[in-house]
Amino acid sequence: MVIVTAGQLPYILVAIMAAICIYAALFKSNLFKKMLAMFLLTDAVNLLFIIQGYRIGGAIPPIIPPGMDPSEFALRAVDPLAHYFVVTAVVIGLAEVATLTVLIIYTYRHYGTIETKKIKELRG
Amino acid sequence: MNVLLIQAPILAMLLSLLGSILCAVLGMFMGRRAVELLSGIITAATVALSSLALINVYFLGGPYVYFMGGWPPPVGIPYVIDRFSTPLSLVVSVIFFATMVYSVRYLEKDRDVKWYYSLRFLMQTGMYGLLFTGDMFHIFVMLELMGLSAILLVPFRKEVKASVEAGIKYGIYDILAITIYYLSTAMIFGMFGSMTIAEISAKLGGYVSPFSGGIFADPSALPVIVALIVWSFAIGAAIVPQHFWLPDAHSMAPSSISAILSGLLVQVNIAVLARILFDGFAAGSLQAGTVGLQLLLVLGVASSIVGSAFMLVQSDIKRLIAYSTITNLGLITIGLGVGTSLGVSAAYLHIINHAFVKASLFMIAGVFIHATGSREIAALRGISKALPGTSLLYTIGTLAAIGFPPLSMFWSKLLLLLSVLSAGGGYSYMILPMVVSIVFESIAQIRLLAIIYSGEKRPVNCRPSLSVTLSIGMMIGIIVLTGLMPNLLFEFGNLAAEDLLNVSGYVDLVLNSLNYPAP
Repeated sequence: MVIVTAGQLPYILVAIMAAICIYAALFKSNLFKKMLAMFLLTDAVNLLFIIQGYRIGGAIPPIIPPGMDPSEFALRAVDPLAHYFVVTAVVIGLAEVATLTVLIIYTYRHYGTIETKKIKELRG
Repeated sequence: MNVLLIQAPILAMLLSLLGSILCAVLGMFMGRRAVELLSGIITAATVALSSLALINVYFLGGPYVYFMGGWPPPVGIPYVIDRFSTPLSLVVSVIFFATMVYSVRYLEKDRDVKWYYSLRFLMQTGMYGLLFTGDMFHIFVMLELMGLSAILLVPFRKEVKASVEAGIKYGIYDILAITIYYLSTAMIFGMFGSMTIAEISAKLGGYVSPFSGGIFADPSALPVIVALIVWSFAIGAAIVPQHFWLPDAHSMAPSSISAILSGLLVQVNIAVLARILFDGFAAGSLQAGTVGLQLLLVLGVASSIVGSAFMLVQSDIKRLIAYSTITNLGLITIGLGVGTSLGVSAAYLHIINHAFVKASLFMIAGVFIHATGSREIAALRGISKALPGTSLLYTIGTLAAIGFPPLSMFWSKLLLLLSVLSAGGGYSYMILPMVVSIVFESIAQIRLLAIIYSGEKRPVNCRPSLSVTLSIGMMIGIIVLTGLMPNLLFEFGNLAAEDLLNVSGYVDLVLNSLNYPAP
């Protein structure tokens, strides 16, 4: 029997989210659902970054106060690097969504549908 | 060292980023000629700067690391300017310059060219960043920059139904690939607490960083991360079984963009993957890297066979050339997967030679399509009598692509075959699929040549203008010249493989050339 500790629960949530999103992005036929799945996958990874940067009891801002020992500081401050990655990725995610939305709108104008099963001009 | 020489590759990258903004702004106030003049000047300047960087790295200063903004690695982004990345950046600059000259007349009838040039510059910026960077997260940002601009350039002729379909297909799969790569960077962050490739490599060898400590998690999970990275780059580089977007995207894009996509974009993906595998995970000496190399070997064999088999049944000239790209990428990944010094240098040379050959073939295919008004191979019957000069250039390009002896790709294909044989053991059996794929590709390409040279003279809609012919001639000239100087090519390949495979040298270069600020 697999024993799950409370600390592992957020990671399991991320794994489930990522698995559902990769499945949906590959096998759903609606282009808009594919796009949503990819955006949610980015969010799952963002969550993973935040979880990894989190420290229990991390209450002080990530600037070393004068006189504090660096190892004690590392225990009491949340890792700011993870937040930097997430902020960058959120901005990039906006660009992704904008790009895909433009393409989906053009697909709808040309084909009158966004179901990939009905769009068969090219043979792959 | 001279300040300009040190900063030349960074300046080339920043200049193309600036060019992207300037093209969009200038295009709103002035006509297309102004935009074309501006982008011509900027691409020519990037060629000059990349050549300066090459001269510096090879003859004056040797490899060095540039810290972006002056921040050393665990905090900032190191740009590793060594003998692996610099020649590739010169190839990027030259092909962008040639396609720039080509697209002035090629896009004469299209509207909104300011966005075309703007996005092209963004893609160029992304490629420089990918080639030089030594940071996993920076690779993600630059993949997005390169990928999103390429996704928007594929359906540039948005009134064509099929090109929009190719664009959405490419968009979905490329963004999925990049997001999967992002997932793997999160796992790497959790395991190593650092994103610098050199630090990852050093921590696998037992190094403890003053900032982020050692390894946090059990490194036996590393093969999973490596497999995710290989998967994401395999989609980006269109390696079988993730190849299905490539023939659509590369055949429906404007020919000047197809040349860049097929000649540079996929190869840059492979080069970055090689950098991560060999320098980050010390492929060959560690279990994780070995898993990556074995994956590359299997995928490479599948890619070369499937790509060349599909070449035999194509009726569209651009799709035929696109499947040839899949075949050659398979050969490149086999070379990398062998992992010996000879294999890596052969793969490196194949990347460079294939870039020039494939870019020139797509550019000439664009001329043929404009002249005949059709993409079908059957419509090319008798074109050699109407356009003798262009057909001659196409013949040289095709002969180079199938590896005809004095031309450039003959040497790299020969080295690839030799590397597989010299690795011995089970690797020797790889020679069979490689030879089969080379034979299939030759049959398909020679059949196309036979159609071009058969039949009566046919009427053509338009003849290629001087600038188009010059840009193609430049590329073909490079192919012939490099083929005539194989020793020079081998020298480049050996030095690049030396820099790539020397992991301790790479780690020293990045980590020890810095002065940590006093705490």
